[in-house]
Amino acid sequence: MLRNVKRCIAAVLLLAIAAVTWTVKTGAFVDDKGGLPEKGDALAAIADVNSNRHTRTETFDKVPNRLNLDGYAKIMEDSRLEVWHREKNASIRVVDKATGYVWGGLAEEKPEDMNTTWSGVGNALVSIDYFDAKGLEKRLSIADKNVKKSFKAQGNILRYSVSYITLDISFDFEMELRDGSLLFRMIDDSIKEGEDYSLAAVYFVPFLGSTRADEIDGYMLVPDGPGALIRYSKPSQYLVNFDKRIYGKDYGIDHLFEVNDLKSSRPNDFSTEEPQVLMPVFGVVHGVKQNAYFARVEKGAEYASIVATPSGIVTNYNWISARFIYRQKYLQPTSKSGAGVQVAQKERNRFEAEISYRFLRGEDADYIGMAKLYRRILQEEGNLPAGERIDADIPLQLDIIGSDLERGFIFNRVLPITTAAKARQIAEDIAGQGISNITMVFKGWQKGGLNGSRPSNFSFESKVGGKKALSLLDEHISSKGGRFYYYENPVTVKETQIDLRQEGGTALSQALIKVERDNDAIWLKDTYFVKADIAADYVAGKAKLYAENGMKGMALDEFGQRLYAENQRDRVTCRLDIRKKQEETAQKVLVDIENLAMYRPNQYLWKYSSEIFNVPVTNSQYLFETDTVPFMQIVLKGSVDYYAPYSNMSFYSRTDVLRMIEYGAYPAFLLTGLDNHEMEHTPISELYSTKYEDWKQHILEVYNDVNAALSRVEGRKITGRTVVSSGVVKMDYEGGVSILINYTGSNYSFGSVNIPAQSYAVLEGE
Amino acid sequence: MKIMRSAIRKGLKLLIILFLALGIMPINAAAQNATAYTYTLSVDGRWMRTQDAYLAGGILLKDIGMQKPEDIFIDKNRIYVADTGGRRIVVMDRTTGSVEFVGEGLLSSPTGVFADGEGRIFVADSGLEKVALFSPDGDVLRWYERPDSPIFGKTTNFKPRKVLTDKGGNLYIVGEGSFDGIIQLGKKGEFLGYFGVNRTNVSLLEVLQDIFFTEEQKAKLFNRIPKTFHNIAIDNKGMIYSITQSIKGDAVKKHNVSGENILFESGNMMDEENFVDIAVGRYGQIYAVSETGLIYEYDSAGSLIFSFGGRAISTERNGLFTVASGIAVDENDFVYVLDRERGMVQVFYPTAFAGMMHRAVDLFEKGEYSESHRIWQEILRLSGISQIAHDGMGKGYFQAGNYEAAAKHFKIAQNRADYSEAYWEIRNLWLQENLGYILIALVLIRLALRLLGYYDRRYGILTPVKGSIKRVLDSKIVADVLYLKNFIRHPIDSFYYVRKDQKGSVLSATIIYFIALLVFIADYLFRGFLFNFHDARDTSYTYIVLLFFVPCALWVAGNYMVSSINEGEGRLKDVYIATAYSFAPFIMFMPVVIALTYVLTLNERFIIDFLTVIIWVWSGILLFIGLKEIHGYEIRDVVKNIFLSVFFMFIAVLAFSIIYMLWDQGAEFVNSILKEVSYRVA
Repeated sequence: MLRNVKRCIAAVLLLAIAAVTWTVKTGAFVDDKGGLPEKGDALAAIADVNSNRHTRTETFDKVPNRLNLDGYAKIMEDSRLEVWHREKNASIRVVDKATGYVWGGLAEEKPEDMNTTWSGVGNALVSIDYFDAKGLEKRLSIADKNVKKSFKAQGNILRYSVSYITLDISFDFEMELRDGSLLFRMIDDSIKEGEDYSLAAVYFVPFLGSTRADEIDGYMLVPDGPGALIRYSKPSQYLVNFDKRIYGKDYGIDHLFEVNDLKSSRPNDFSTEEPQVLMPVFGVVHGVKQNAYFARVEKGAEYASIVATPSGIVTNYNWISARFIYRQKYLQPTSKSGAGVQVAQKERNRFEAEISYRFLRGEDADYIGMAKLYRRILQEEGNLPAGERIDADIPLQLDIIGSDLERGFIFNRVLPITTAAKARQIAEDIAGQGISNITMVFKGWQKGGLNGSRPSNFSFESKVGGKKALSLLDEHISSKGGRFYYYENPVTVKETQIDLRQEGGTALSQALIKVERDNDAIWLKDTYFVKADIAADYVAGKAKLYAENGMKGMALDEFGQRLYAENQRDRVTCRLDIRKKQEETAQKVLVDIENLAMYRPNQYLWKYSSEIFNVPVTNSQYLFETDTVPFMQIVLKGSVDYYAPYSNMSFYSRTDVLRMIEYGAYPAFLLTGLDNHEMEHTPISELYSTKYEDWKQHILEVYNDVNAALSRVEGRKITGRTVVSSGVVKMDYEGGVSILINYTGSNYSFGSVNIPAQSYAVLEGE
Repeated sequence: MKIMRSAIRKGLKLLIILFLALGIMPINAAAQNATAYTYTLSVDGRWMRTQDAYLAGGILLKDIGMQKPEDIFIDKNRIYVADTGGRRIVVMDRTTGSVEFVGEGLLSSPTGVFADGEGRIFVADSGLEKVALFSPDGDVLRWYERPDSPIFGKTTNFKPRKVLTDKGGNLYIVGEGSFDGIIQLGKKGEFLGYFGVNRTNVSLLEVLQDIFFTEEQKAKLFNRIPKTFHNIAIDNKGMIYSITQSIKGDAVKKHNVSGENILFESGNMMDEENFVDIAVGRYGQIYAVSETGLIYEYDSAGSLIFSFGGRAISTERNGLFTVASGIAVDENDFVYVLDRERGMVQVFYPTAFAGMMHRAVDLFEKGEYSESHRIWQEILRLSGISQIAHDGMGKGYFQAGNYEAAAKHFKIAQNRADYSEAYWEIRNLWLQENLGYILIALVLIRLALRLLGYYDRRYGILTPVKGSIKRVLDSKIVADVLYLKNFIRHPIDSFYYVRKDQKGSVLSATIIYFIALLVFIADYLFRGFLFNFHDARDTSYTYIVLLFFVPCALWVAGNYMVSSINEGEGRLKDVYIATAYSFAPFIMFMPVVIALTYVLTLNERFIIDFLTVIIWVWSGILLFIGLKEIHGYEIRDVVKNIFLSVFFMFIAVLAFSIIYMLWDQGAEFVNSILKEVSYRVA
C-alpha cells in the first residue's frame, strides 16, 4: 500500500514538472445547443461515469498469497513457473517464480461452503458436463471417486487418462509447460462414450485463479465488446452468469428466440443486441499490477464459450473458464408455430481443443498488460493488420445508403435514396469544410437496393446512377485522398433477396435459420441467413467481378462476424470449416482487389482488414460487469484504422465524442440524401435521422474535435491507460504522447494542465 | 383559435399487434450506450425507435438486502423506499449516500411511502391496516386508522397500500379493494370522502346481459364494480395523478379538485394495462412504469413522448428490470426505478435529446412558440419521424401564421384536426385572392359553350364527333351500362324493363360491378388526406377486392335461395342484375363526394358524412324497389326477404369460419405428426 502511494506521488510530481516543458492543447468545448441546464448536465456526467460503461479507479490493495503447497508435489518447472500436482483430487498449483505467488483452484480440498461435487470441480484439472439418459445436463470433475485416472509425465508434458466409470466416458488430455505458459489440450481421438451418457462439454482447470467473494482486490477480464471487467464483490443472486460463445452464436444451433414478453402494446423487441465475443481470450487479476494470468483458446475456439461466474451464483466463488462444447441442446420444432422440444446433438463436434495460460506480474499484471501481451502474440503470429495508414488528418467514415425497396399498393419499387451524384455533392461539401480524408461506403448500389438486391447477383442499380456514376464517384473520392468501398452483405438477407430453398441457411433442426423481430411496425421483419459456404463463394466470386470492373474496395458486413455452420442433411459444413473458408475467402478477395474493410469482424479476420468499422465501445452492461475497458482497442490501435459506431444513431453526445477520443476510434456517420419520413415505406424506416443536411454541422464539429486529438497519435500504439480520477482517463501512446479525457462535469487539474469539464487535453513530449 | 389534438391515434393503435417471442435481431444501426431502445410514436402512429432518451447511470441500495420493496419516493434531500418484506422504510441521503432505517419493529407490511415538504414520512401499511406518520428523524408522530364515520361504510375495508398528502395536509390513501375511490382523510384523520372514482365501462356483452338477465341472475353472476386505483402521485402544483390497472387508454389520470380526469388524451392514451407506479416531473411530464419494466413518459396533456426500459428475463443488464414496482423522478429529471425482485434502485439520467424534448414541451406550454420552435427543429434533426416533434413544429408555425409550413408538418404527423385548421386558413386566403378569377373563368366557360352551341346549330361543326359518340352509344352493351342513369329518375320502370329482359344483361351487370369496385376502392383508399384513414400501402388489394365482392356474392346467392323458397319470381340472373343496378347512386355520386374530400375541412365534415349516408340509403332504397319488382313481392315480403338474406349471409360466414378453423387445426396436427416422424426417422 505504502509503496503504491509513494509511487503515485512520485509519478504525479514527475508529470507536473514535465508538464511545464510540454506543449499543451485542449480540445474545443462545443456548446451543447438546447441541452439541459448546467447543473443537470454535470449530474448526468457523474451518473454516466458511475455506470459500467466506464472504468473505475484502482485502489492497488496489496494481495497476499492465499494458497499453500501442502500435499502437492512438483512435477514440472521452467525458468518462470513451477507446476505442483496433487494426485488425490487431480489438482495443481502454479508458482510464479519471480514473485512466489501461488495460483490454483480452491484453498482447501473441500471448503465449508461448497458441496463435494463443486469442491471437486473447484480443484480438479478437468471437469465435464454430460447428458444423462434423460437428456439432463450435469457436471462432474475428474476428482470424483468414480473416475479412474492415470498419468504419465514426459519432460514438461503430463498426459492424463481419465475414465468416468459410471458414465462410460473416457478420454486423454495433456498439460504442457512451455516457455512460461501452461497449455492444456484434449486428445480428440481418445474420447470414448458409452450408450446412455454423452459428453457435453469440457473445462480445463475451471477454478484456476478463483477467489471467494470480495476477499481480495482484483477482477476477471471478459472479451465482452471492447472488454469488460467483473470486479470481485459480495455474493449476489444473479439469474445467470456470463456465458458467451466465442465468435458469436452459431445461428444454426443456438436458440434465437427468447420468451421476453413485455405484456404491452408496444413492440417487444426492446433489447439492444449484446456485443459478441470477438477474441478467444480472458484473464484474471489478483491485485492490480501484482498478479495476473491471461488465457487464450489456442484451438477449438469455434466450439468454445467464455464462462465467467461472479460470486453468488451457485457458489460464493468468482471463477472464469473456457467451455469446450462437444454437444449442445437445440430446439427441434414439432409444430408450425415454432414450439418444440429441446434435444441434444446426436453427433459430437470434432475439433482440437487447446487453451494456454500465461502468467503476468508487477506492472504487466492488469488488463492493459494483457492487451499488450495479446498484441505481441498476434503480431508475432502475423495476425494483426500490417499497420495503420498515416495521414495528416484522421479519416471520416461516411456510409451512404443509395437505394432500397419501397412498398407500393400493388408493386414494390426501388426508391433512390442517395444518388451517386448526391453522394459526390456530399463529399465535395464536406471537403469544402477541409475534410478530405473520407472513407466512403456505398450501400444499396446493387440492382434492387439494399434489401432487394440478390447476393448472388452482380449488377448496378440504375436509379442511383448505375456503374458509370459510381465509378466516377469512386474516382472522385480516391483522387481527393479518400477511399471508396462498395458495400456487400452476403450473409443476412430478407425473403426478397434469395431463393430460400436453394440458398437459405439451415439449422440443425433442418428448419431455415430465421431471426424474427417481434415488431409489426417494420416491413420485412424476418431475417434469413445465406448458407455459410455459399455466402463465402459469393464473396470470392464478386471480388473477381470487382477486379474486372475496376472496383478496388469492398466493405463486408456480417461476414466474419456471423460464424454459423450449414446443417442441411447431406451437405453439412461445420463451424470450424466455415471459419477456415471465411479466412480463405478473405485471402482470395485480396488477390483481386486492394482494400477489404469489415464491420466488427472476429479476430481471425483482422489481419485481412484494411479498416474495421463499428468497433464495439461498450460491454453488454450486465449487472455484475463493473467496468468497460478498451482491451480490443489497445490491441488494435496503430495496426489498423478503426471506426466508432454511427454517431447519428445515438452516439452523438459529448460523452460519446470523448469516448471516440479515448478509444482511438474515428468518427462514422450513416447518411442519406432523403429525409427519413420519405423512407417510411422501406425496410429501413426505423432509421430515425440520417439526412445529410441535418448532420452537416455536427459532422464538422465531431470530426474537428476528434481530429485535434487523434491526428497526433495516428499509427501509434497505446502503451498505457490510467484512470487518474473517477471519470478522468489518461491514455498513453508511443512517443510520449498522452491524451487526458475528462468525462466529468467539472474542470480537472492534472499537474499544471487544466482539462475543462467534458473535454480533453493532449500532452506531447518534446 | 384553439388547437386540437390528434384524435385518430386510437384507431391506429389497432395496427399494433401483440407478440409473445422476441427475436434478437442483428442490425447494425444499434444503439451503443443503452441496453434497451427508446421508442416513440412515428408520424404514422406506429412505434419507432429513436435516439436514446435516458441512459442507465448507476445502481442504488443494491447491497442492503431489501426484500420485495414496493414503493419509492424522492424529495430534495432523500430517497425513501418501502422495504415491504424487510418491514421497514429505507431512507437514503442523496448527497452522502448514507442509509438509515425507519419504522423497524413497528411496521408490518409497508407498501407505500411519501414525505411531505417538512420531511415527515407517511407510510401506508396494508398489514397493520394503518397509515403511520414519522418525524424526519424516524420517530412515530401518529397513526391513522380506519375512519369510523358512517359514510365510509360499515363493511368497507381499510387496507392502505399507497399514501400521499397535499399541501393542506389532507391524506389521499389508495386502499386494497377500495372500489369507491381514493380515501381522503383530513389532517386529524377524519374521513372527508372518496376522491375520484373509476367509471364502470359497459361492454356490448354487458349491455346484452342487462337486457336478458334478471336482477337476481345479474347479482349472482356478475360482479360489476369499478376498477380500484393502483397507485397515486402528486405534482408540485398539488394535482393528484393516479394509475388504474387493466383499463386500456385510460390507465393514467390527472385529477382536478373534484376528482375528475382532466388529461386531454384521456381515453386515447398510449398506455399499458400493467402500469404499477406513476411519478410527475418538474414540467408536469408524467412517468409511468409497467410491471415488466417499461417506462413511459407523457407530456402534461398525456401525449406519449418516450417509452424506454424493458424486462430482464434471460439476462440482467443495467436498465432492465426483473419486476418493477416503483418509479420516482427528481428535480433534474433523473428517473429512479425500483426493482422488487432484485431489491435495488436503478437510476436513469436524461440525455441531451430528452433534455431538449423537455424544454420544447415546457416552452410551448408557456406560449413561447418561437423559442420552442428552434428546439423542435433541433429535435427533428435528431429524430426526423417523431410525431410529437412534427406536431410541435406545426403548432409553432401555426401560431406564427405560417399556415403552409404548419399544414406540412401536421400532415406528416398525421394530425388531421390541426391540419384541418391550417388548411382552412390556407383555403380561406386562396379564396380571398382568387374568387374574382374564378367567377370570371366561370362566366368565360359559359360564354364559350354558348358560342359552341350556336356555331354547331348553324354550321354543324360538332356533327362528326356526335356521330361517333352515337355509334358507341348504340351498341347494346354500352347502352345497357349507361341505362344506370335511368334508375335515378325512374327506378320502378327501369327495374321492370330489367325484369322483362329488355334492358340490362349479365355482362352489363358484371361491368357495373367492376365500375362499382373501382369507385369503392377510390372511396376506401383515395379520399383527401383529412377524410382518409387507410394507407394504400398497408392495405392488401385482395383484401379490398374481397371486402367488396364477398358481401355482394353472398347477398346475391342468399337472396336468390331465400326468395326461391318464398315464392319470389326473380331468377338468379335478375337478382344479380338488380343488385348491380342498385349501385347507380353510388357509382354516379360517390366520385363527387371523393372530389369534395379534397377541398373541404373537418369543419364541413357533416357535408361529407351526410352525402355519404344519402348515397348509401338511396342505393338501399333502389335495392328494395328492385327486389319488390323482380320478385313481384308486397312490401312486407320484401322486408322479410331482406332479413332472411342477411341471416343467410351471417350463417354462411359463421359456417365458413368453423370449417376454416377445423381445417387449420387438422393441418397443424398432420404437420406436427409429419415433423415428429421425420425427426425420429432421421
